[in-house]
Amino acid sequence: MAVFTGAFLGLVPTLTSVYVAVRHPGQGPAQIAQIVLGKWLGRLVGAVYAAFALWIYSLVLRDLYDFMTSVLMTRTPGVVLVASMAAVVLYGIWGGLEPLARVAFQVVTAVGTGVVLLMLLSSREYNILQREPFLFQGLGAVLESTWETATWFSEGVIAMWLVAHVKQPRQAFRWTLIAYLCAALTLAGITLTISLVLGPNLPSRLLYPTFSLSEIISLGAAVERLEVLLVIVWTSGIFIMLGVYLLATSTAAAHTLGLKSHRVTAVVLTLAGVWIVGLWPSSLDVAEFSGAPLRLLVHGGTLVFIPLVLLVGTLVHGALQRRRSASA
Amino acid sequence: MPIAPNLDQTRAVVRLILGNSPDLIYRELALGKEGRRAFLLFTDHLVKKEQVMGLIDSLTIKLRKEKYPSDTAALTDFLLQRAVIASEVNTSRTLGDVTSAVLSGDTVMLVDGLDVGIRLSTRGWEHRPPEQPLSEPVVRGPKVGFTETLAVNLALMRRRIQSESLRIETMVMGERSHTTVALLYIAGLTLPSLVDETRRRLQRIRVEAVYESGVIEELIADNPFTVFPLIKQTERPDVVESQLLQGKVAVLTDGTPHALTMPATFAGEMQAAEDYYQHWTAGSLMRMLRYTFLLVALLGPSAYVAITTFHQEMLPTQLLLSLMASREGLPFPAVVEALIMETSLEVLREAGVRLPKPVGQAISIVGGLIIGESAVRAGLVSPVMVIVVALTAISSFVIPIFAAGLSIRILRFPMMLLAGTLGFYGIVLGLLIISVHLASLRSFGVPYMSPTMPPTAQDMQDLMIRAPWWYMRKRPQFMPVLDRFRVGKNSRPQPDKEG
Repeated sequence: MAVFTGAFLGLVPTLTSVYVAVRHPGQGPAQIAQIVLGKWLGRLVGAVYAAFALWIYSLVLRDLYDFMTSVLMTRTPGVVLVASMAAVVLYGIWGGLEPLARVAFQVVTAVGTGVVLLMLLSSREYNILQREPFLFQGLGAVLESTWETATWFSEGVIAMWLVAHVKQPRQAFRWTLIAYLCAALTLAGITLTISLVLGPNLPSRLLYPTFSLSEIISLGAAVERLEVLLVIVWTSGIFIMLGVYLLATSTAAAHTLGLKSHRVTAVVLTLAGVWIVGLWPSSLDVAEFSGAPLRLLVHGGTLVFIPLVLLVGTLVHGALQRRRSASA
Repeated sequence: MPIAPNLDQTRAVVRLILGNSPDLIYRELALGKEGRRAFLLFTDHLVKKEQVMGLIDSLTIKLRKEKYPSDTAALTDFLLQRAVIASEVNTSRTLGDVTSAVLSGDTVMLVDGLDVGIRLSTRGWEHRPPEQPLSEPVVRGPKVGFTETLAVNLALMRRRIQSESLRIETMVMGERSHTTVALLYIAGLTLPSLVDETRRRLQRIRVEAVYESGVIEELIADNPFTVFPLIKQTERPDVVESQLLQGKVAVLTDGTPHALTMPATFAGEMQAAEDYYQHWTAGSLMRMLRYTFLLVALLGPSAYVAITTFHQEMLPTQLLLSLMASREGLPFPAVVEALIMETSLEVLREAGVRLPKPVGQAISIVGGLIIGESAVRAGLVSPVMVIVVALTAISSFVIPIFAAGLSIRILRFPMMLLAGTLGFYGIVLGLLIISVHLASLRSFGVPYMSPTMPPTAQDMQDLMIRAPWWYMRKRPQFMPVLDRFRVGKNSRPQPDKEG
């Protein structure tokens, strides 16, 4: 339930961003900000968005680092794993969004299939009584969890970057809602499955509950521990996420600096991301775990406040333009 | 250079241009009652001897008492309309035209007092008859393939598509080879922009010689650095026919049986002609097997390396124990073992292809059985590795188009290195790189990974499965064409209601 309430809350900034992007076809957020807020204020917004996207990029990269070094490739230096993935991601966005988007469709299909298979193959272990403790927590627990999911869903503002590449921006609303629904259903489904199998307490103590869920699956006596296959699918999903955020940060940085191509900034920001994750990991710990005020400031500012400012700016800008054209 | 009316002068210049090659024949003639001097010029073994003999017979015997007109224009008309016997007759106005006509197999008659040459189509040379293509055999389907002669290949295409809408344009390429290249398409079906684009790319080619259609392929492909074939090549007329009827264009080159069709897609490389001739259930099964074993061909050795080096926990204990026992005492890590075995296999394959057929088979037997067996006995490689490599080799033969199989064989090596260094994580990275690369490729404006990236639901009927013919009413959606339908309504077979 918390997933759906969080998704509903996150829908507001996301649809705001989509509306702003649709009103400025072919423009990224940094360019939109420069149009509606003026050159310097717009550049400041662009810089904030570039920093925010870089931060998310680094966090995802850090997730990969932690997971790989603690679970799958324990003897391989983490920085090698992260640097190799960053290089592949850089190659992925070198030609722009199109190749990444095409691969994303396949990856999303694979992730969806993986989730469904995970739910089906673990169904033998379902125990409906595991859900009972959740019911005693009441609506308070739902609202408490809503914050986490709402911030995750609010990252849908990334749509502002994506809509710029869409040939028919008017369809952006429909596809955003479809993607939203799919993401909410997937997250709700996997959360329900974990709670049905692992109960209420164990998942909160596990670092990677989905991975732990996959560990209990065994297909006859032929193949055991299918989690490696799950990791393959998960890694592909991480690649797409990293690609989108690297494209976002590099295009925002390029537009802020007045560069035509995102390639130079992409190389610099890739190196920055690897450096942050591999060589200065404590910086992310500070940013991620320094408490609610900072997170509220970062998330509220970039995911809610700026899209709303851009929305107001777009409406005012549009009204002014209409008045000018009417008087002319 | 224009043709001089003085025959001696013209002859001297032609000799100067062509040299004293023994295969160039200058046949002196005396025409009609007046005995007007003329000579026939042709290249030995490039002309139909009977036709040239018939021509000489007509000029020197049948028309020996004929009075030829003295006026040059009337004489030219007389020669064109009455005197010479050939299916195609026209005039050449320059010495350049004369020499190129002679070198392409035509015969040119030069007459004293005329400033034009009479060009007769007499082309005809030894060529092998159309046979079943070695690289694309079928159990069910036409057992005929292209030959090295363009005229024969065009005739094969005309026989297959007896429609007035089949268009054939020819052009000559190669500054020295003067190779004739034909561009084929279906008017009213193929997009004119595609034909224009292909024609433009062909006309842009500036090379000394077109040795084979592979030269053209490299010079007109969208991306010169990819290992994947962006232009489909085939030896089968039925395949070219089906490609043309999908709205694509084909290029046939004189001197090679390999035709090119474009745009190409990766899915197209996985389709065999026979998929469409056998029942759709059998065709679909073959397709699915092909895609499955494509993965084995690409990832077989790398998966083995990743599992034995990094992810032993994936295997059941018994299987793991027997696998480890077979690797006991081996001097090389799995990745080196795989690289050695795969390289040896590629060497054997190359040797088998280059050597004469009987020797090639012997090499395959010696290499595959004796060396493999000895290597296992000597403790250099594990028996499981031999099985993996053999299975991979067989899988790579499942890919119907040789060029596509070649690209998979090339990619297998970096995948093994990635698996040897980063396990399954490395394999995923490699697959992502390949996916992004494939997604960025285009062939003549069509995404190479159509219809999967971007996905088009309708075209899934001819991807992993081959839907029944009556169901595939429309041509592939990813391929823009002027006429969308290829199968009529109500084509699904069903008995009459009365019956």
